Amino acid sequence: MDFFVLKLCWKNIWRNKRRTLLTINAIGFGVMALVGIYNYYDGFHEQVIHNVIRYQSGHLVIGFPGYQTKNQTSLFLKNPVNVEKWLSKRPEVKAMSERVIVQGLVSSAVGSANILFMGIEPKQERRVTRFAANVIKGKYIEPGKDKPILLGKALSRLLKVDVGSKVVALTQGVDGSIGNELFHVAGIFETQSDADKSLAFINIGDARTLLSLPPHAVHQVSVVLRQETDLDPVYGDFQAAFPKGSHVEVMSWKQVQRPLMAMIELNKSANRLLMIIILFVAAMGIANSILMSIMERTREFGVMMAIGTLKKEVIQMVVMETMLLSGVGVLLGNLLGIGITLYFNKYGFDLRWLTSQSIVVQGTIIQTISYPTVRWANSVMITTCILSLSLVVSVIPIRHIAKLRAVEALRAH
Amino acid sequence: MEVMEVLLFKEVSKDYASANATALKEVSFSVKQGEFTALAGPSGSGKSTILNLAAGLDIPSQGKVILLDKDLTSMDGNALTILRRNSVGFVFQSYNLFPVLTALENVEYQLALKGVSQNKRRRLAEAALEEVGMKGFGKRFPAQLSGGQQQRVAIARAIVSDPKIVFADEPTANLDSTTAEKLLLLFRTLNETKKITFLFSSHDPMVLRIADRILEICDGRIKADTLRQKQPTEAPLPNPVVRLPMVLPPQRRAA
Repeated sequence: MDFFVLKLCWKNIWRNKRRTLLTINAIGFGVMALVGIYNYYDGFHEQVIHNVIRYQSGHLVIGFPGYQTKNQTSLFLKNPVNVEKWLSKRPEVKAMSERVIVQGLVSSAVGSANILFMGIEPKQERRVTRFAANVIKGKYIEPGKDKPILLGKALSRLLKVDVGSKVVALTQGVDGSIGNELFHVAGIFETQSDADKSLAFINIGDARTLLSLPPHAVHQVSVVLRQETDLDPVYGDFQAAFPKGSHVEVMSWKQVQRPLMAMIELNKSANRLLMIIILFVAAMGIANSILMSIMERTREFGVMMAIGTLKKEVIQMVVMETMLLSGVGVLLGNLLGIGITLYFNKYGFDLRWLTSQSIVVQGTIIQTISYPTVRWANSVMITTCILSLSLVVSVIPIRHIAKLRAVEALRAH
Repeated sequence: MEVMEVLLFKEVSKDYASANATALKEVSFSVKQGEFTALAGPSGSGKSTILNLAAGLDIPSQGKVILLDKDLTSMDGNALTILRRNSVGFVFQSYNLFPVLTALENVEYQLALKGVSQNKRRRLAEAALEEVGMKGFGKRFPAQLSGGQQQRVAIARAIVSDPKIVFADEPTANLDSTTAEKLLLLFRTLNETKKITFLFSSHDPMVLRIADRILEICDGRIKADTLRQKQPTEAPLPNPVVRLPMVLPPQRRAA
């Protein structure tokens, strides 16, 4: 029947313009919302992951087995030279940074706070994390004898210190001794996260001294890869190169940031639930529209069958009408959803009007402004769901038509 | 030369169990090729039931219906539909055109069912519309046509695929007498020029005057089967306001 049936179906769905427009709008709005929300969250999650990688763990964290989970300062790598040699041979590795992490007390003349001292090699750390870019006053720490320290803005306010001020760090060494050192505030950083009040950077040598660690000891080697897709192969190869018993443990950021991954999963589950609700509403709209349309045309179906249209051809026609109706709605929704995503991808979607403070997850700042990304996979998935659902709801009119007898349908009014 | 039978009813009965009623009681008759036959009788007499059974839209409770040498009672729904598609035309009392299609598209529909190509379909549909006097009305939708014009389009749809037989259920019932007369002349012309067999159901005296043969149905039985002289197309029909009595003129009776 070439395009004749398609033309007939197209004309049929526009018999009742208002009803059809309402249904198309309902589907279109639902699809637009889903595409927009899915794209928003994809962009949001990407941003969060990016922040976690570039402000905390990097893509991979290597340390003594058990350190990442227990955080015991006594669990350190005595000399990571083998690890670093292996990593430096891998082209996927962009940068790595040795760290010694110390939990302790920082005090000034007016106050004190329990914080985390991050002992770093400043040059290495600059390539791994972006704290250097967040220095708002003074400068990033440099290797030197004056024991520089970089404090968060909130912490500096609490201690009432500024660049050049002196603070004392107090902690317990791995040998049980009490370590205390005087530091000079070299700079102040601001990330608008928990780090601002609970983190300070010092030189790795000073951290080793505080903890009474041997000269080359490290708690972590944080690794940043060139691409996220390099993660699995490098992780797998590293595990093969340093098997159990080699006293080296590697963890991917996904393992280190389990709570964050759980939050992302939770978000995705919530999105799926939202999708089910929207799909259900859309399905009801489609079913209602098509059922109304076919009930009004019972006599016409009788005529069709009387003049030689097979029942299966009538059914095909009704299914095609359903798919056309949904297809137009889905197309409209996708165009709007992608359009909105592109707009906010350029200008950002700011949640400040919804939240009074920064959003912090697991100590990671989540910027209130997000940049959704167009993911074709989202559009394909949502489109497939709506069209499949349309096929499912077609069962209702199909059942009605399957029961029709031409002679009875011809008597319908 | 023996004229072929296109339709044969053999002791056909039809009961409606749900209504506990019998619509037809052992009805037997045949329709020969080229005949212009009218089923006459009051409402509820069984005329429409005969048409439904003859077209395979309904199945008899008893007896056999043979259409174009095929026993309809032994065919399944799809085979019956294909038979109607290829060999049967339908004209309904209330025209039953598809409102969303233009007049031309309504006629084309029948050809599209048969898989006729677009160009040929259009050409044939235009020719059919011209044949029923609807040239120039192809682009109009049914709602833009009068009742008589709609029925002409319905006739064009019925004849466009060269059916062997056309069933017409009260085709003039919804029309004024002048329009009805013109339509009947059209039916007659098509019968004569295209040799299409027509089987009407009607209680319109004009239809009965123009038919070659009248099967009078009463209470589900054939009360009379009357053959009449062929009515020339040019002959004026009787004044439409004069209603003929249901008792048919005693002309040549069929054996």
